[in-house]
Amino acid sequence: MQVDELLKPFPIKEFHPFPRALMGPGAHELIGPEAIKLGFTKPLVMTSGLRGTNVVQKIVDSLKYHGLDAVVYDKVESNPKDYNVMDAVALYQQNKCDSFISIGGGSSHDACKGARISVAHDGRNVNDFEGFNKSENPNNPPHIAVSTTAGTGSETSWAYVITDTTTDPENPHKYVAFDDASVATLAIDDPVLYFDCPVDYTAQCGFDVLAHASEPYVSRLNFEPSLGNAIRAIKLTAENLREAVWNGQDLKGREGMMYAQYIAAQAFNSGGLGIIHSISHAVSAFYDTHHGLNNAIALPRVWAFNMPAQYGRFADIAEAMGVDTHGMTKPQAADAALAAAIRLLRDVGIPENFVSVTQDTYSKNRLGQGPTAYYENAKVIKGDDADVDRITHHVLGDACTPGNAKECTFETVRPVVAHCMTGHLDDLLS
Amino acid sequence: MSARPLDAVRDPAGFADVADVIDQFAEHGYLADERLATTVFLQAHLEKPILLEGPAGVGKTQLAKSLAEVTGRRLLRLQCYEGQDETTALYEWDYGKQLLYTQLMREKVGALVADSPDLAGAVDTLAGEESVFFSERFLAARPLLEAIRSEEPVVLLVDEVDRADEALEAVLLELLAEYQVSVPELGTFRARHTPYVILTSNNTRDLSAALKRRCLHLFLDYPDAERELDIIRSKRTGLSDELARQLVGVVRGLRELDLRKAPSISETVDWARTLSVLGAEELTAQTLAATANVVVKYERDLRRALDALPRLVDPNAVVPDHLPEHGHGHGHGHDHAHDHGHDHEIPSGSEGPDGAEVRRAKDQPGRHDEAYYGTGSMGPARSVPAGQGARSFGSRRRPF
Repeated sequence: MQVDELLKPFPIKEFHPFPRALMGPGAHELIGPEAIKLGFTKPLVMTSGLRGTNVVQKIVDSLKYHGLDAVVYDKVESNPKDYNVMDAVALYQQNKCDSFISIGGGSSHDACKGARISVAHDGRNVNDFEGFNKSENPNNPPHIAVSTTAGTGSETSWAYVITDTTTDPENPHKYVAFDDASVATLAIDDPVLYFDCPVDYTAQCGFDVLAHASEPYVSRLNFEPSLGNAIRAIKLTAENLREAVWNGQDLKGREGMMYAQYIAAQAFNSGGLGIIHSISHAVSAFYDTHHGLNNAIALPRVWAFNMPAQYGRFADIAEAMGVDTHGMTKPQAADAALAAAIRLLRDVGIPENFVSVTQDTYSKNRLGQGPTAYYENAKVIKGDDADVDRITHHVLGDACTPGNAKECTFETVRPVVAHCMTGHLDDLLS
Repeated sequence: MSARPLDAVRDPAGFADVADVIDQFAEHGYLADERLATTVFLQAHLEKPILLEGPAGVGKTQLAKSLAEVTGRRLLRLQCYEGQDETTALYEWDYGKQLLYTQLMREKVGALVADSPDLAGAVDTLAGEESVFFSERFLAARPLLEAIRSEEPVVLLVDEVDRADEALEAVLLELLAEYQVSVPELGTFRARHTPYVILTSNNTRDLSAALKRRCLHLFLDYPDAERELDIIRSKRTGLSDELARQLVGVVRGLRELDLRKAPSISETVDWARTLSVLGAEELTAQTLAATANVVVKYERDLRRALDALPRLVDPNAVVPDHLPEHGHGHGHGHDHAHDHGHDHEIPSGSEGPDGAEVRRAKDQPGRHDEAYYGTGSMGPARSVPAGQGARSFGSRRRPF
C-alpha cells in the first residue's frame, strides 16, 4: 500500500516542543542573568505599559542593572493591531536592537512574535504571514516572554494573533498565524506578577484557559500527547479560578492558574483549537472586546454545539471539573460539564451574552496606555441579523475552525453565533 | 351586600358567595377578579390550600396578606430558599435550652441516679426520664408547626416554594393533605383551626404532581387593561385617570417585547407614582424614557424598551434605528491620524488591490485545511440543509 493512501485518513500529527521555561514565585528576577546568558545586549521591550503597576519599570530597571541597554515600546493595544507591530519594528530597526523581551498578556507577546518575524524578513508587513508556517527565515531575534496574566499561554505557543486594520479598514480582520519560528526562546511565568491583575481580567483570562484546554481535548486533531495537559489544565482551572479571581493576592490560586494556562497552551499547540476561538476572533475584530471575555461567552454555546460529537470527552471534562459522574450516562455527564462551566462563569461574574457586554468592559488597555483611538471608535455590540451573518462568515475563514469537534458550515454555525449574541445561558441547561 | 360587623373574626361563614369575596378584598385594597375570588371562596369552604403560579409582581404574595386582613387571621410566612431544610420550616429541638436545664438540675439528676449500682443502671434510670427533655417545652416551632399549633386561626404563606429543594416539598405534603405535623418524639399535632394555606411559585422549576394534587391551582397572570387600571386607581398614585390609562397601554406594550423581566403590576404602580411625583401632564416618549428604569431592570431590556417607547406612545412615530447616543455610524472609524512612522504596504487609496475584496477572500471555509489539517482528511465542508443546525437538539430545549 502506498504511504500516500495511508496518510489520507490519518495524517501525520505534529507535536510542538516548547521553549525552556522558568516558573514559580520570584522567577521574574532571573530575567537579567538569563538575558545575558542568551547574548542580549540591546533588547526591545514590548509591552502594554501595565498602567497602574510598576511591573514594567521593575523589570527594565533590573535589565539596566545587569548592563543591558533596553529600549521600550509600551503602546501595544489589546487585540494587538498591525500598526502596533510595525511601529515596534521601526523602533527596533532605528535603535539597532538585537533581541526582544515582551512583558504582559497575550497582546504583548503576540505583537512581539509578529515583530520578530517581520524583522527577520527585512520589515515586511506582518499581515503577510497569516496562516501556517508562512515565514521563510527561521532565524529571527531571540525573545524572552514574561507573562503577567494567566490565560494567554502565548509565551509557550507557536501561534500569534494580530488584527489587520489596513487591508479593509471598514471590516477589520483578526487572524491567527501559526509559525514554528515564532516560539519564544525563554518563557518566564511568575505568579507574583499576576497579583495586580484586576478581578474581571483574571476571570476573563481564566476562561481563556478553559477554552485553550477544552478545545484541543475535543478537537478533531487531538491525539494522546496533548490530552493529558488539556484535562489537567481543566482540573486546575476549576479548582483555582474562583480563588484567583476573588482572592487575587493569594499565591495558591494564582499559581494554580499559572500552571493551568501554561499546560493548556501546550495542549492546543498540538491538539488545535475550535470555534470558541473563531467566534472570539471575529467579535474582537469588529468590537475590540477582550479575547478572554469573548471566549467565556462563546464557550458554553460551543460546548453545547459540539457535545453530540464527543459525549465521552465531555464526560471526562465533567469529572475534571469536579462533578461526581458516577452512575451517569455519558450524555448526562456531558450536560453536567456544561452546567459546571456555566456555574463557574456566573461565579466569576462574566456577562452572559454579547449584547449585555457594556462598553466599559471592552478591552481598553486598562493595563496599558489607556483607551486608544481604535477602542474609542468601537461600536456598541448590536447582535442583529447582519452582525450575526458577518461574524459567521469571519468564523468560517478562521484558521481555528477546521479543527473544531463538529464540522462547521454557515447553516450550523449561524445559530451558535446568534445565541452568543442574544441568547440566555439557561436555554443551554437541560 | 348586607352589612357585616367588620371587627368580627370571619371564618368560612364570612364569605357568603364569590361576589362577597370580591367586595371584602376590595375593601382592603385588593382587586380580585372572578377567577381568583372563586378560588379563595372554594379554599374557605373546601379547606384546601391554594397554589398560585405566575410571573413576579402580579400580586401572589399580596393575596395572602390581604386574605389575612380580610379574615382577621394572623399571617405566618415561610420564605423558601435553596438548601432550606425542615429545621427552619417545621421545628427543631432547642438544644441550648435542653442543656441549660440539665445544668441547672444537675443535683436533682445526681440524686436520681444515686441509687443505681453501676453505670448501665444509671443510664437506664435516666432513659426513663427522657420524655422530660423531649417535650413541647423544648420544641422550637417554625412557621409550619406554628401554623398547626396556633391557638388562633392563621393564614400560612409558603412563599416562592419553587426555590426550595424537592425534599422540603415532600415535608410539606403531610401538612397540606392532613393539616397535621408528626414529631417522632411527641406524636402528631393536628391543627386546631384549619389554616388557610397559600403557596406561591415563580415557575423557576416544576413542582411535584403530589404537591399540585393537594392544592387548588391558579395561574395568576398579568391582569387585563381594565383591571390593571382599577388597581392603579385603588393605589391612589395621584396620576390622572387619562394618563393612567395611557400608561397601562404602554406597559402592556412593553410586556409584549422580548424582555428578560417584563414589568409587573407593582412596577406599573411604581411608574404611575414616579410620573405623578414628577408632575407629568402628558405622557411623551421623552418623559417615559427618562423614567423607564423604574420598570425595566436590565440594561439590554432598557435599550429595547427605549427603542419601542416612541411607537408605544404614538403608533405612527418614526422609530430611529437606535438612539442617538449609541452613535452607530457606518464604518469603523479607525483613526488613521495615528502616528505610524512608516508605510503600510497596502495603501488605503485607490491604487493597489481592493482591500474589501482581499478581505472577503479570507472568509472562505476550508482555506486552511491543507496547511495544518492534512490533505484529503477532511475535505471541503459538506452542504447542510437550512434548519439542520437548529434541529440537532430537537428533543431538548437547546437551540442548536
